[in-house]
Amino acid sequence: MTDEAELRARVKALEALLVERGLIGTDTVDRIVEVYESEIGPLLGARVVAHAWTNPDFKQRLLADATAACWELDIGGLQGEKLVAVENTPEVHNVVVCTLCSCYPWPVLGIPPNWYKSPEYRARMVAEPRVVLAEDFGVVLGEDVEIRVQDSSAEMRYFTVPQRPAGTEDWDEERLAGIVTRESMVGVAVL
Amino acid sequence: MDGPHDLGGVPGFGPVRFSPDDPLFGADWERKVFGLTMAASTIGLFNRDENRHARERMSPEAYRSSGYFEQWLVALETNLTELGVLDADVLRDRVSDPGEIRGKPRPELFELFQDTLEFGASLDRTVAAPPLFEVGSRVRAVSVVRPGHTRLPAYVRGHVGVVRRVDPAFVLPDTNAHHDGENPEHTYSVGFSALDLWGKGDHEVRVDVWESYLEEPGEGS
Repeated sequence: MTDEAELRARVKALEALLVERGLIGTDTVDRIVEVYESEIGPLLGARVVAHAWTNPDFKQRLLADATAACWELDIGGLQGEKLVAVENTPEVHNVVVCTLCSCYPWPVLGIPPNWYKSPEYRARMVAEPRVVLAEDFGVVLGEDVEIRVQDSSAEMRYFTVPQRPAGTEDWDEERLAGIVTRESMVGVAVL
Repeated sequence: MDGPHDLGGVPGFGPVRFSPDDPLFGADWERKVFGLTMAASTIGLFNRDENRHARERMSPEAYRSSGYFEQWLVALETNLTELGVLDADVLRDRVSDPGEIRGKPRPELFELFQDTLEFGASLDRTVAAPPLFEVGSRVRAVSVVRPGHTRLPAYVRGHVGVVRRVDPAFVLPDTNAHHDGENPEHTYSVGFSALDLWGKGDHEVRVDVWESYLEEPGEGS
């Protein structure tokens, strides 16, 4: 590991030179990051999932063309220009990974968490998903459940529509959105 | 290219350290690296593919011993100096004594970023030729990739799979990363059986590939 002080100096030098060349402003970096810290995150994806749970026609459109369906809710854009929603059912469980880097559906889930970017997750999820889901995420799937691992190696960005938990039949969309976690939309949790 | 980034199925890794409450950034410099990369890409200093390629060119030792945002930092330094945006000597001197950052805000750049954020920067393109393969086609992932950047994971090379979905045509990363043109191609989601890939397992791995990464499966397969 490189020394933290050195890393700080290297980053500051880059920002200083880009600002002093006039290529970026003193405000640019912080304002961009703030967008991802406060505006774009898994709450958006949770809205999409809750809407799909309560609106079968929307769910059908979402599974057929997630990009267009998410735009109906004004959700889309950078690093999610083409979205794919895959549905988890009692028969089929999807889980998303990017083995080559860290591709992730930013407009619905924000920027990826550390575990998703980790070499352990990237190496092992494609080879032994049943083990990783059970041992590292506590998701034990029946042997009859088919697992599909989606490796986001090109330009489509995936998220999963988890199964709606039993006992939530009377809940409204907002309350449902409150229980949809980031992990359930990557496929490493069931609700 | 074959590189340290191509991790699918690589043995030897232990448990995933899963923590649902991890902060997005572990330190302020990581936050800055993310913002700098997004800013540099917004103003077009480099494209996504060359940014990825700069990380992949790290030595295996350096790649594995660096955290995620340190890899991003190396890519920034590599691209900005190789593309002539910053002089390597000037950068080195500044690292040894960063001093204060002198300049002014540029709100119009943030507005430009917001436009990119909203409308995206899609690399989908129209190509005249119809797709070579259709849903259900059996296809083989090529065994040999060209030198330089590619998005065909090593673990599927030479293996036969089935086309599960035909996707839009996108700019080919293999040439775009090297400024050799966009050369858009149709892309596909191809399903491979775990048993075939790994000799064990009952799952399917779906990998997204550009058309030139695929060939007819050939006799006897």
